Amino acid sequence: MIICNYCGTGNMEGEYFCDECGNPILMALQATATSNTAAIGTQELKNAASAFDALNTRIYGGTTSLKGISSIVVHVSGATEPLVIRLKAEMTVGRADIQSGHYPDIDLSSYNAVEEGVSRAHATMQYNDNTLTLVDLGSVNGTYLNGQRLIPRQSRIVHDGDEMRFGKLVLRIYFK
Amino acid sequence: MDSQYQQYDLYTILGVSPSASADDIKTAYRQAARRFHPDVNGHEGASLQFKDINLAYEVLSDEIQRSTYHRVLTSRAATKRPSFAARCIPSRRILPVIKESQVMYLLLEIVARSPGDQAVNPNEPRKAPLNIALVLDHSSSMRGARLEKVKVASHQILSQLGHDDRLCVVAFSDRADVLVKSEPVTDPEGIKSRVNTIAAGGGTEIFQGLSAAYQEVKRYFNRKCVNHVILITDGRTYGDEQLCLELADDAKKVGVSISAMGIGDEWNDVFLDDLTAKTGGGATYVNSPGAVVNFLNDRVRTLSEAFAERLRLTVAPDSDVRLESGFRLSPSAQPLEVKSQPINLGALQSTRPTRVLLQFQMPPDMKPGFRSMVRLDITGDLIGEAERYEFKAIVDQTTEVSTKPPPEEPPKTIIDALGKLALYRMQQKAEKAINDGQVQEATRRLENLATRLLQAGQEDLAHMAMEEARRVRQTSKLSEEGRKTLKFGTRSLMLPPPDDDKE
Repeated sequence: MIICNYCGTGNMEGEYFCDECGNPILMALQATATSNTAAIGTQELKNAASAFDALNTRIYGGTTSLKGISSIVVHVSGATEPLVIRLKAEMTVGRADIQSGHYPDIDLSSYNAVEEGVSRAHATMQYNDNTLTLVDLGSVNGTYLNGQRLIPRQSRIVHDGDEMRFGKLVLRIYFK
Repeated sequence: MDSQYQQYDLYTILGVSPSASADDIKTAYRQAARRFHPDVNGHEGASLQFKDINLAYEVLSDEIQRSTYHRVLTSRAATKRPSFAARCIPSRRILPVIKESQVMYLLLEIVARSPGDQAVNPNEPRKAPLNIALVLDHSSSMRGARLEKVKVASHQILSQLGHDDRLCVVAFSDRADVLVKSEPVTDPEGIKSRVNTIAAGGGTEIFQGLSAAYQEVKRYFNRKCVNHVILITDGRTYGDEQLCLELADDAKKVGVSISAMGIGDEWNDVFLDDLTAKTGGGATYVNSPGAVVNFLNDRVRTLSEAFAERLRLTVAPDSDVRLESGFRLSPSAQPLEVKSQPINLGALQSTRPTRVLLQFQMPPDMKPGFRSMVRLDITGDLIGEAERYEFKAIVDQTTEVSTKPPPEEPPKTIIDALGKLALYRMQQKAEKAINDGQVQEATRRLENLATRLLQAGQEDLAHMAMEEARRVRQTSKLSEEGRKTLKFGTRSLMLPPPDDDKE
């Protein structure tokens, strides 16, 4: 199984383009890009990496409506299994702390959260009126949406396919 | 021995050299049987191949028959004849050993060869005689610019046709009028004036017209010619679709191909795709009447450059490999029906290769080393030969499996084709989602498609996709125009740019 870097869909080994979003699958192409930079054949390959970067800062296409959806899927970069999260009005993001008994709804402690700079109570996601918003809770290392740092306690609307960053930990979110 | 088989290279079919010993032949036959015998391999293509292999073995294992065949072979080698060659480009040369199934693509390229096994000179394309019929819709919706352009288009193609060609013209609404019975084109002015008499009126019943035209082409069917029916319509046919499809099945057997062009938004693209794909033809969409003229001119030119007709592809994968889908990329882009074999690929042109992209699923847990994967058999009738002359090209594709495959660069042609095929598939999935009532999913897919089209520099199509996404969200439906533009637009992206072929 190879995971599409753009939308996180699992594709069968041997595919070069994601079945879901049609983007070139970087994992399949990266090996070739590093092994033989001089002779990369196509424009498609050359553009793949830059197109992917451009998408991080561009809020284009992805819908904001969660109508008829009961859970969201979060892909943590570097992890193989995505997290499926049931939607509720308020979902906190952070890492669990056994001593103080703090357990966030989206617990990132199993993803090396301390080293990556995730605070205990890092951010929160609010769900109402079929839209999802992301609020930074004054974390030490900051919360980023599509590469832009959020001002603490100011909510921002999340689109399908957006990239969220907590400290150094990168997550991609999908409405499914 | 069946005389038809005298034309084939039995040694290639069995995979042995002409100097092979009787033991070699027996071993080769046993190997082939282990791969393709119906008891071990359930693929339809495999049993078709096994039939051929059996016949080859029957001849070559018998000393007397083999020496007779040798004489035929030597005398044939003396007369130089045209042929075609096939080659296969795999998406990966070395596959990794993994616990899951994996995908493998093959790009099959079929190229015409002049006598003496030379590449065909692109400046001297062969001109094949035509036996064609035009089936023109003159229902009331064609009134005005549409019908006028169809008439202009019909006039223009007459200048391309000569005494060697036959033309039949049928106009249809809810009944069919044979305006021009199939005749050699000796009096173009007379044909023009008869085409001019067409007036718009009535409903659309395709079968009536199609059947009348098909009967004419069939009556003068000639193996030395390109036998073809061109249908131009702007409407949906009611109640006779099944009859049309049955006609297409018959046409496939006889060797007449059908192509279709739909004008405007009303016609049934799924039906016309099915109808034409059966015979190896193709369906096209134009939204402006003016494009009819170009289409028809181009169509007739393409037909007359045919080198081989009734190109048929048999795909015989190994028993653990699965053929998932097939897509013809050139000369015209068309999804292929891979369920029933052999697959009809239509005509091979003298100066343009026929390209087919095949998708396979490889089994999990493959053993490291070399393994066979699939055998492809391409058979076609070469045009312009005195007697019926079938030619067969065989490709036996093998692949390497390794625990540590070195990183390799996927071939450019495959990446280009797959990137574009991905767009077409996204459109198809969006359409399916709408039909299943999955509005959310359809919107998402259309938005994804728009993003990708924009990246590919297809701004017009991208805007169309965005607009349709909005429409779907509001009304849960696509507009007919948008749907057809996206379907045929993404499909036509797969055609290589015209100068790409003449390298």
